[in-house]
Amino acid sequence: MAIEKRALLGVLAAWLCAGCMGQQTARLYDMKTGQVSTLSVDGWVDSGGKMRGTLPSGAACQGSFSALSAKDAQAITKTEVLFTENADSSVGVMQCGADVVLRCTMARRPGSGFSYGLCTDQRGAEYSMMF
Amino acid sequence: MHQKLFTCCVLLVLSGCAMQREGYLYSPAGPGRGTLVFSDALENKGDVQASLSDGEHCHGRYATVPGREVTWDDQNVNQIYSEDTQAGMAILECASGHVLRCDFSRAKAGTGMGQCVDTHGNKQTLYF
Repeated sequence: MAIEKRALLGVLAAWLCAGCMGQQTARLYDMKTGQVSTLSVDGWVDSGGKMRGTLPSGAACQGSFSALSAKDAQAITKTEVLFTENADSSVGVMQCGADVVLRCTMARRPGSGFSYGLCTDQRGAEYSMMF
Repeated sequence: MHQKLFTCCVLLVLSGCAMQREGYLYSPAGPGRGTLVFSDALENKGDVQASLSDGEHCHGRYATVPGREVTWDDQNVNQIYSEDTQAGMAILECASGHVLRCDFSRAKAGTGMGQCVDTHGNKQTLYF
């Protein structure tokens, strides 16, 4: 019985650790107001996963992301520096509250977690992400 | 006595491991320049602090990814051996509601340049 309990605890701990390792949190900055909130990304080790968090305004966001080529990431974002062909790029889309759709482009070094990102909503408001 | 000397040496070596890199922020709108300090010129991510030309202090984080120029590993396919350049972003929180974002590119030695924009729409050029 004691061995079964210990094994169960071990499985639970491994499951919890796997969950922690697969989640990354970013600070999201509204580049007009300077307000800050947080977003989390699940499954960053994979080519896609879930995203959730809040906008600095307080609206709850939920959506998903998937990997894409650096060329496509560069086409989506206005800046030329941030997304290079030697980094991995992903695009995430989230519904925030009832009326905001947030599109984020995120960069990471291959085989590692996300580094940073840029987001815009459908009204043109800009946000910066730092993981 | 020897123990104290050894501790001092260890602290000196540890503090020397982080190679700070100082840079300057130039605004096209006015005279003067601000300073920006990366906690480590060689680390892929870390802390960054700035003092703007008007005296405002900012602090934040930076992160990088491999830049356009890399050396590939001969032994392992699709493995980067060395990042000859890096692309990066720094976000700094200044006074209430004032945020500065810098997009930069830097070389292996830690030198580089970039463009910064803040929440007021002011643009600055970064050299480091």
